[in-house]
Amino acid sequence: MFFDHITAGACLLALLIVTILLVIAMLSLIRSYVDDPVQHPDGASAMFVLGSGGHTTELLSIVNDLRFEKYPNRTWVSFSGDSLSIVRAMDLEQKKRDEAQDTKSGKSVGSMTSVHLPRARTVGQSYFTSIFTTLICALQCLYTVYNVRPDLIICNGPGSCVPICFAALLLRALGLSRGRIVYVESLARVNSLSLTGKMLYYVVDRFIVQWPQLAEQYEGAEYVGLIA
Amino acid sequence: MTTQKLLICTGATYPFDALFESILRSADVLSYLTAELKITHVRVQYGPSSSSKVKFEKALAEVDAGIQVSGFGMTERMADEIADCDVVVSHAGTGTILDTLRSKSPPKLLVVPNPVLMHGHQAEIANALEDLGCLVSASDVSSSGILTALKKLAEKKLRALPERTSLADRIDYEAGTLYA
Repeated sequence: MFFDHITAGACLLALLIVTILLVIAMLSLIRSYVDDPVQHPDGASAMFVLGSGGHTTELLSIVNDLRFEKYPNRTWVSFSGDSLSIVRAMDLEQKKRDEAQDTKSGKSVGSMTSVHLPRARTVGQSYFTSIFTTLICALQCLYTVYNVRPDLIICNGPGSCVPICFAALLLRALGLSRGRIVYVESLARVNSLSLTGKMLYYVVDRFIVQWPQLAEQYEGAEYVGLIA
Repeated sequence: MTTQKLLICTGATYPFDALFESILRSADVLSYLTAELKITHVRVQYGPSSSSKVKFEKALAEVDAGIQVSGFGMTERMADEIADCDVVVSHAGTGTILDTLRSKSPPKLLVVPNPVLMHGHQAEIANALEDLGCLVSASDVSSSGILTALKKLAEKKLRALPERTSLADRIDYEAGTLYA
């Protein structure tokens, strides 16, 4: 009996969330097709969403190609259960600082901050408690994105990046931020998109895949070869 | 005598004890490693869990002399470990695959897809990169499966991973920093 109530409540909550997400998605779709990227001649603020393991390897490789003086405000986001990624990200930051000093270009690489967020659900967590942890995670993601209001978000999975992206879309739909999102599908996805990829395919500004058969299946997905 | 190092890499996310057990507990595999591949050192990244550590130490205790074995749970500087060895036997995670194939003088790479991964696409990436000739993929994690794959690895001339593409221009466009 008690469990039935919980199930019904969870269904309602899920329905509500899905509706909100759909509205956000539609609003932001309209906006993103109308708007060209805002020019930031003095540099933009960027948010890099760290996955874990191979996701992190690929993301760091992407970020390493960027000229940091173009992104003087950088925010690294990592999630609980993954303490290695942020260490590797700080290694990259140090390397970029060293390079800037060596070349004596006089251009500053600016500053960075890092944010460690809880995950929506940890492996093995009960269904009931995960309703609350998902909500907490969603609110923290929203707060983080609102706080930073990045001009650019780069993410490449796994699912932990989804609430960050939807938070950014919500702020965009409300006109509070114009942050654009670049999503890069993992090298591991050869023949089909990941669940994260499927969720973000319709709402991100740039959707990049690493195998040609994916670009054939999904219109608008850009195949550029290996990115790492 | 020159040292030849083999690195066994189970990944940091999901346990994959069968990978090091199939190698360390098989006399056939060990003798092939020492006699044919001239491996003198085996380094094992056994993963973060304490039960993996226990299993590694048990397997280690039973390894005969003639080959040096050491291990560690995990490290944020896996790329350095990889650069330091000649052959890598690894789970088919993209992190290890990229770290190995992109290292300055890439070690030979044998991958074994972790069968317990429900939605991991380790077999998919392993097959795709084997088709490109960049690595050898083992059919399964048994000792005989690994031995067969090791023999294939010894014979095969591997190709370099295709060149990578920078996304910097596309990202700069989105961020409005192309002309910054």
